[in-house]
Amino acid sequence: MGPLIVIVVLVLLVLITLLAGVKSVPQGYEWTQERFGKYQRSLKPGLNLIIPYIDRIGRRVNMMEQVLDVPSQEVITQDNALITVDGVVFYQVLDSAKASYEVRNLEQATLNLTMTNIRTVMGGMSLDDLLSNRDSINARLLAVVDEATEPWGVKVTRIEVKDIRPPADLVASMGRQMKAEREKRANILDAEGFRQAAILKAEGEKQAEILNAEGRRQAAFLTAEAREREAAAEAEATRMVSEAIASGNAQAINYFIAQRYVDALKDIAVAPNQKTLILPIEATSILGSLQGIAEVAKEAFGGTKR
Amino acid sequence: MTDLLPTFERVLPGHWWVLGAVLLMLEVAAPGIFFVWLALASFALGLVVFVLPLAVPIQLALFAVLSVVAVFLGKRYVGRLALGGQEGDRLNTGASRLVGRTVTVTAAIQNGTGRVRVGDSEWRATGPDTPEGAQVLIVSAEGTTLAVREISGTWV
Repeated sequence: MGPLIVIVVLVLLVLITLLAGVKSVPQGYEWTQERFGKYQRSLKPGLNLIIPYIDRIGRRVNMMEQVLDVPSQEVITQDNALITVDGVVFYQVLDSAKASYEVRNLEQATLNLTMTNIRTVMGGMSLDDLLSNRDSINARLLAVVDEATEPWGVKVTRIEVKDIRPPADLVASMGRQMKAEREKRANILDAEGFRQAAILKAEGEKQAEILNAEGRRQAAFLTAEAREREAAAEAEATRMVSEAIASGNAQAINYFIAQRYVDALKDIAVAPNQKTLILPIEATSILGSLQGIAEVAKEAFGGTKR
Repeated sequence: MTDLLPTFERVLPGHWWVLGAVLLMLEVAAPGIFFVWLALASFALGLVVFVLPLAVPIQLALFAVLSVVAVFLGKRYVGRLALGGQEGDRLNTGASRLVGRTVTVTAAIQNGTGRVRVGDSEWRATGPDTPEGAQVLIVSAEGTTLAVREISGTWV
């Protein structure tokens, strides 16, 4: 029975030794191995053997990229606006030894560093810049925090400011400002439209007046010309008649007159409403005109005889 | 019924096999790649006892020895298993996955250190002094710092 106890204890010892010496590290982690408390090496994922009783596992470091939520904090901007800001930090441990032993509480350290730097960066900017330059804020934060966490074997890949909330009354006045801005633009555009329209209308009226006057002037010119032409034609006719008279006989005129005379008589005679015919003309004068005709004829024929 | 249970006078190979099965179940329930070696040792020991019946203390001692042997053999061959192989080596490789990339300097490298833009993030870089905006090649990575060199037109 004695040796059996010894054997059982021995077996137990072997089992415990195996338990202490065989370490399998899951993917995504690195475990630090300490020999008598001093850092020795980092165990990579997979099956690892360490010397039992001498070595032990120090820290189990997560090597995956991790997200830290930066809680909301109040920041006073350069132009004294009190705003509430929160954000996220993405970081990854690249050196498990440094992350384990160079800093006591990595997560808390990173978080505090980020928060204080958010205050620093935002405190130096005006509210308008803050709301419109998130990219540059993120870039500046990243540069500072990444440089600061470098000794801890941590790579900060991204810092994003999530939410920038100015106080409600400030948001309301910003909204009012924008509305006023747009209304101003609309009013200006309206006025511009009216002005343009008035100018166009005046232009049109002016053109119409000018065209009217032009027309009247042309018409006057043409009328005058027509009258002139008429007068000229009249004068020409008179001249021709007087020339004819001058070159011929005065009795020739009597022929024309006599012809009219007789025509007029005929008209009176056939008028439908006449009972009596009043002849206010001496027949002699008609005869006289006939005589004139005779004379004209005589003259004409005589002329040919001669 | 009682003669089926193992005693200090008599352990049958079947007992070792049952123990191996139980250990395997434990391994599944609490993964730690520890029980599996003991299970392997149990199966092997069951085989040995099946061939030549040994005294119980010797069996126990042999069990301890086989456990240790199983661990060392496992350590040796587990990495060379055809399935899996070295698939895991491309994960969590840190900055070394960036080696060979061509990147742009965002903060001029002065006195040996500066910053370069990789993807949408910036990294600390060491290398020969380079003005901002230059293209550099990542040659190695240590921790969070990338070693870069200028891309010379003569040989890249």
